[in-house]
Amino acid sequence: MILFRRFRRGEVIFGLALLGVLVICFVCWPALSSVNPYQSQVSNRLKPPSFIHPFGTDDFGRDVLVRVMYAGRLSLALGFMVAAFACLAGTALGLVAGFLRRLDGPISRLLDALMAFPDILLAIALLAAFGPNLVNAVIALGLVYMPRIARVVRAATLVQRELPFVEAALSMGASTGRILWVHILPNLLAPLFVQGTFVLAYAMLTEAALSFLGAGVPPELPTLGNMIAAGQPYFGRAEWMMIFPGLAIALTVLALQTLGDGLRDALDPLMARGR
Amino acid sequence: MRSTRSWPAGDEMTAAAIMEAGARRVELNRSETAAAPVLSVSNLSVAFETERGRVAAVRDVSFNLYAGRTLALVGESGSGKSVTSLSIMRLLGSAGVIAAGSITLATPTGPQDLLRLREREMRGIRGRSISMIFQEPMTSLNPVLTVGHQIAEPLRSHLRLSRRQARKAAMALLDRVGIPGSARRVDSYAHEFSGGMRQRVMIAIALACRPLVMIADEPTTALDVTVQAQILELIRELQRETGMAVLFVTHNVGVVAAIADRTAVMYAGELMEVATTAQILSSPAHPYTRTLLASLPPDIDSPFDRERQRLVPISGQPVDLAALPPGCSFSPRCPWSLRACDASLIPLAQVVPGRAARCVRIGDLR
Amino acid sequence: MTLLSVRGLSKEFVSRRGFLRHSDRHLALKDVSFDLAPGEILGLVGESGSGKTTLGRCVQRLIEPSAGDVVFDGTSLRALPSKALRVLRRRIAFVFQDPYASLNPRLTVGRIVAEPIEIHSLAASRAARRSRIKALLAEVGLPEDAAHRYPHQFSGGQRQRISIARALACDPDLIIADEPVSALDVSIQAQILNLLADLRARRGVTMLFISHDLEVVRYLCDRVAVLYRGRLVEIGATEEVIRRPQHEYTRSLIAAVPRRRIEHLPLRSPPAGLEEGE
Repeated sequence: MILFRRFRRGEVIFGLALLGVLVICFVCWPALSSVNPYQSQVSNRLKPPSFIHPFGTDDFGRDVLVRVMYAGRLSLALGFMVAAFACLAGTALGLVAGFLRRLDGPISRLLDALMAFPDILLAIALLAAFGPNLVNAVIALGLVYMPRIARVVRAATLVQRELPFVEAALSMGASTGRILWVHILPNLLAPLFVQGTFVLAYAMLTEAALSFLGAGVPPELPTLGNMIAAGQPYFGRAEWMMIFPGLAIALTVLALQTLGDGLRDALDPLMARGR
Repeated sequence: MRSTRSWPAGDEMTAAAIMEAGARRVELNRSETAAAPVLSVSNLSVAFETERGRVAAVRDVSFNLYAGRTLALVGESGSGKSVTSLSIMRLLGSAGVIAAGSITLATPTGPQDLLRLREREMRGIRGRSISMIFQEPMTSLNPVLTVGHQIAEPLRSHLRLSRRQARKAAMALLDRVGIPGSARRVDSYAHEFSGGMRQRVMIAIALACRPLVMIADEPTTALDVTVQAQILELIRELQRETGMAVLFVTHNVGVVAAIADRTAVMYAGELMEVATTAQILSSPAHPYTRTLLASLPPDIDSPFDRERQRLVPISGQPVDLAALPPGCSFSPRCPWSLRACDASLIPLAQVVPGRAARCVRIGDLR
Repeated sequence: MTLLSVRGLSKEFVSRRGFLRHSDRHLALKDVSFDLAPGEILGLVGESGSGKTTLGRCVQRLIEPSAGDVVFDGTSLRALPSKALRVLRRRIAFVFQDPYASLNPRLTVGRIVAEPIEIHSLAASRAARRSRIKALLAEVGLPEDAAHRYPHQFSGGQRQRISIARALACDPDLIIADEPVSALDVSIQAQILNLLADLRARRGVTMLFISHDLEVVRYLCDRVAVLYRGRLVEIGATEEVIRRPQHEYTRSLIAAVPRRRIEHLPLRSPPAGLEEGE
């Protein structure tokens, strides 16, 4: 797919490249580094960035660089799981709502209701209700972003449903399931993927916000959000505790958004005419 | 024949009238015909920039339009007939490039080469000296403006009529094109009309300033056949009244028979044969014309034996304009093609005075 | 012995206008009845608004009729539960008008043609399916390697052949062709019409041929039914209906078809010599 000429846009290449660098860092660094991100070394507290500790050390004397990498890995993984969950649930609901007219009404109203809540509030409410652990965080955030995916899928399904080749499949005796799987779903994958990258970005941001507020994953695990939270009291003295995790989030979200924008424009048939 | 009131609904022409109109013989007053052409297209070539390079859509096309006469431009998809008509109006858009040629319009103030005019001057020509009607009246008419407004538009901008004068003229035009209740209908919107009525509105707009030339690009293709007959009759009448020249672009040979004095057959962007309609239908010279006519279902009045008779399709596929053969473009599909046909380009040559064809085998195929 | 029997078929379309206003009712079909014998080609002729497209869809219950019934080979379609209906659709195939949109652009031609076989599990093995696809493509005049290519690589006429191959995949008893040649170039129409005529001769498949073009219907169909505003106004042997139309509408329809024979041309062309040769 990447080989298609129209995907060779600046945004796609940049987003993909930056994302690639970040992912490699987040995945490989923890595996290759011998530095322990959890062990505190009180003598080393709050040291500014230096050769040994490029990102400085935090209030427990732990190397910020390594912690950022571990946290990035966790945040990215979390974001990925949320996006996957939202895509699966959202696609299922969107397909049903788009294809089965009778269920469209209730499902759309449900989605509207979910979307009416601000992301973070809804996530906090769900976590408060079910208990703040990793799995619940994924489910909560997934539910928050699922409506966005469902709407896109529903809209695309409504369009696809009217196409003559779908009617042709019906006339051959194809079951609803077959039509959805063979004829409609493949044409949805492109916009779904684009929305998925956006959801990934939003999920990471929201998770960071949740962790910052202390309402996210358990505090023992380093996430970019709670690293920033931990650095807050030291703002005047050790800014590097907040800057570097913040930068990590910003760069990741930038990469994802750019990639998503580029993909969306590349797939837009109107813009494709400029090939 | 008994007169009927119920079919086709909405319009006044009865079945009897349709048949009568088709059989009516009209002799043109010879003193009314002008010998000099109203519009002269010479060596027109149009190309498009595509991903596969520059594609020639129209190649060295020349023809004349005369007052009170209709020329049909017949061809299938890819023949270049629509591009030709759009080029005359200079409505090609940014993708098309007029590579060569001249289009001379005989205006009251002297001949004008339309291709050399500036866009501002061309705007003064469109809708006034040359008008065009299209295939899909629904998309050619503005859905948010009344039809009266749209008919009045050329009157106000070209002839500088006042709003009241233009409105009166619009009502008169609606009457003339056969839309009943013009006083009411002048304030109706496009969607309130049926397909045939909308096409009549389009004709009214085209006719508003009494143009010298009317170009009709497949105006009846999207219409029912009963409505088509009425629209063709309307165009014929209006031509008799106003003496305008008509260029009728179509792929339908039956329509050509009903409306055209002369016919030009196009294939792959070139003129393949030009002759009077009667000659084209009774004794086609060019292999493409002959095979095209042979592939049509038999005329509805002809006897037909399903067991014996069979359509003879043209073999092969429509031409790919981006990959034209070196010689005659029809040669790959021609049942009579020789090696000489593929060697080099074939010129359009006169067969008899008033008749031309682009084929080297005309002589031996008769 | 009739293969298809349409009895008193009516269809009313209801569209809701606004929240409180009454709905718009449009009667697309009014009490249409006719029979189709095995092996015959029946033409359904009508202009826009005649209901011919709706009728074609109702025969396969792609659209639910408001009243009346369709009886196919003794089985009433009306009472059929959806699963049995799907199975029955193996025996009634559709060819649609638009060669560009009726084929899924993401599937290869092979998969498109094989879809009916897959749906009804008619092939014993992959090899059997492959050879069936090959045979079908050959039957409609397409090259063997077409199976690996995509629809957009073919012309309109060729795509219509693919549609026909797909329709034949399950050896249907009845083919409903909804304006199959209307979107094609004139010179290609003849190829497809001949193909359909050959298919009837070779396979004995019954056909319901829906069209607005009376000349095409006359060439291909044994009998013709004329629809006007949802009603069946005339039905009979093609040549009979054309030569001796009984109904006013049929007469006006025939009269409106443009003639191509010289005797019927309005004599308007001035003698040659008045215009220079081009």
